[in-house]
Amino acid sequence: MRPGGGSSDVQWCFSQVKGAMDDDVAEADIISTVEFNQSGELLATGDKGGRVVIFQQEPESKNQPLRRGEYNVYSTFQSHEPEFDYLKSLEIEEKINKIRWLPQKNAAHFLLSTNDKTIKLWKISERDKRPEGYNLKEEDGRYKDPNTITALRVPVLTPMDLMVEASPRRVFANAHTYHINSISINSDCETYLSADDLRINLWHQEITDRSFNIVDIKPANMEDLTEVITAAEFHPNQCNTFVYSSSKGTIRMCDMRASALCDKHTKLFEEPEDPNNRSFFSEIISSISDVKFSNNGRYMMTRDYLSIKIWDLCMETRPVETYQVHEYLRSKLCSLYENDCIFDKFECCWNGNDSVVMTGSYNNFFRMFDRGYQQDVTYEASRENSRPRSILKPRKISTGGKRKKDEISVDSLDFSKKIIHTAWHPLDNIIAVATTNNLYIFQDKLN
Amino acid sequence: MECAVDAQSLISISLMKIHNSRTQRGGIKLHKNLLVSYVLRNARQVFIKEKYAEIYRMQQYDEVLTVCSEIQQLNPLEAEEEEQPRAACCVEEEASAQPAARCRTPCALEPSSAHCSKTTVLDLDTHVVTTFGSSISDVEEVSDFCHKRAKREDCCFSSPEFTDTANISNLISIFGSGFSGLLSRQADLEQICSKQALASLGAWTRAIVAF
Repeated sequence: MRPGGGSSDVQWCFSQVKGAMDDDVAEADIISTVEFNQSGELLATGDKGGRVVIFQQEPESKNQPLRRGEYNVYSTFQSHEPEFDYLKSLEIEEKINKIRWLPQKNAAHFLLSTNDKTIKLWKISERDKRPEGYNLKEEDGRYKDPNTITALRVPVLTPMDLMVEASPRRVFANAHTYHINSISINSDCETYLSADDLRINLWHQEITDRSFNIVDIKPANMEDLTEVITAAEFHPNQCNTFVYSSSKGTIRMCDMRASALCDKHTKLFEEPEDPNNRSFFSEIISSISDVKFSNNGRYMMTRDYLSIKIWDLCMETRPVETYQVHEYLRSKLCSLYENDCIFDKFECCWNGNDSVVMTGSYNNFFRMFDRGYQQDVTYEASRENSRPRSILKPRKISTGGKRKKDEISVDSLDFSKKIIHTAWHPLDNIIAVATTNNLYIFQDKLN
Repeated sequence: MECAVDAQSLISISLMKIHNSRTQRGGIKLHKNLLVSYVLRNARQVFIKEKYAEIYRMQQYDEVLTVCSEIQQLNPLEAEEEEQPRAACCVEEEASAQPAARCRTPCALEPSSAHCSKTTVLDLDTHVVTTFGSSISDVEEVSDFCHKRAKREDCCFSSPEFTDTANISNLISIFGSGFSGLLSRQADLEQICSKQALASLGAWTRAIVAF
């Protein structure tokens, strides 16, 4: 494993960009989730049109040992279709909210994909051989008249062009009244959780007709509703532990051994609000949009509208580190409320050795924070910087009156260009960053 | 990019967002609407505080007029000044149902009338000079607002729509009474009003009124 680079010793280069080049973005092409599998060989994206596209990394070639393999399309399939709930007269969007890979057990790959209401288990398998020489069938599949058969032969497997098939193996439906925002696979390799605004359910991967409700925060009277669940995740190696974040900026850790219904948390992580920063929008910007455990399981990271916070699981009173993603937006909250940008749910991710965290921002900027060196950097994902292996130049936003050369002023930021979804290769310095409808892949410069 | 952070405009923007969410694809987003309702609550708190501050100022203005009229009654000379008590009484009796003829006098309704002209006041405690324009129409507005707010809340408490749980199709009905923060405001406001009433007695007895 190459050292997970901090911004001091890593130079990020453009590698590839996937997706249409048009400025006119079709709504169905908007990327809604990005996820590497456990080995990093496969990279899955989901979009608003309900499709999943999986990219596979080419093996490093012997001719060019210092170049990592490129990611090329491996499989594309329609995971979810739009549905209509006749009882409630509601349309159910086909947008893929989350994809999570199952740990690989055999030659096939399995992933869970979910929209607002239904989770599906997909099997992605390769077929590169086919049987030839059937006794009862012609080559084109037509059945032979048995009376014409005079001899028997054993069919032989012959090579064919590689075909990647995706087939739905399980459909987990009708368990969520509200919109699913998270799925998370347990380290026990048998169960997983799904979370909506008010409830979290525990499933067995093999059983689709029932699930256990393990968290329910729905009040008896909906008028008393004060918070919703915004994200949930299992601990990476403790199969009894999971966390869920709320719209009030709190994170609750639960232990499934304590009771069947985990309404009582084991730990409550909350930082008191700074009264000096109180505004009309305090509740909105403190809502947590993403929560991710570190790979080593000792920390967790939360993302709210303006910052990233890193929590030590042993300390509930306040985060151990806080990073400002785009503090210059604090004075713009009113405009961001009017144009709905304040509701954007940014995600965040760790690198392989938990030394660097990354998240997206506006103007197609994304930010990395090196925890060890206490440095941060801003990069931009754009077609202009997309010559092969061109080194990414750090960007600077000018917040004061005087704008230096190469700096961008806050007022010229494009708020329609946002990076919500980012993913970091689990073992290497390769990152996948999704703009509205394009997927950018960057990697660190080797040698 | 900058916009006026005005409580009233935030209230209307928020209500528009909730209205639009009812026709969005995928159904009402509970999380987003909850956050919008918090903005609505915050804006409403500020809006109500501002309105009550206005009432407070109006009450103090009325106190001054009452004091003046009492002084004037000791010197019953000019006809114009006799109309002042009418102005004062009109304002105080505005909310009552008494159809007193006095309340129909033009002076109470026409802001440009000489009897409702600007008043300059020097507060001996703070040495602050304040000028009041005629604001009787403002007082009417505020008291209408209070009536309307009270009516809306009563209506929402008895609305049958609250029995719905899964289909939150009418979130607007929740704001009037739901979300405990909204309910607690009522108690706070009563406190503010009583404090203001007490404060006005001490300070204004020492005020000098200049014409």
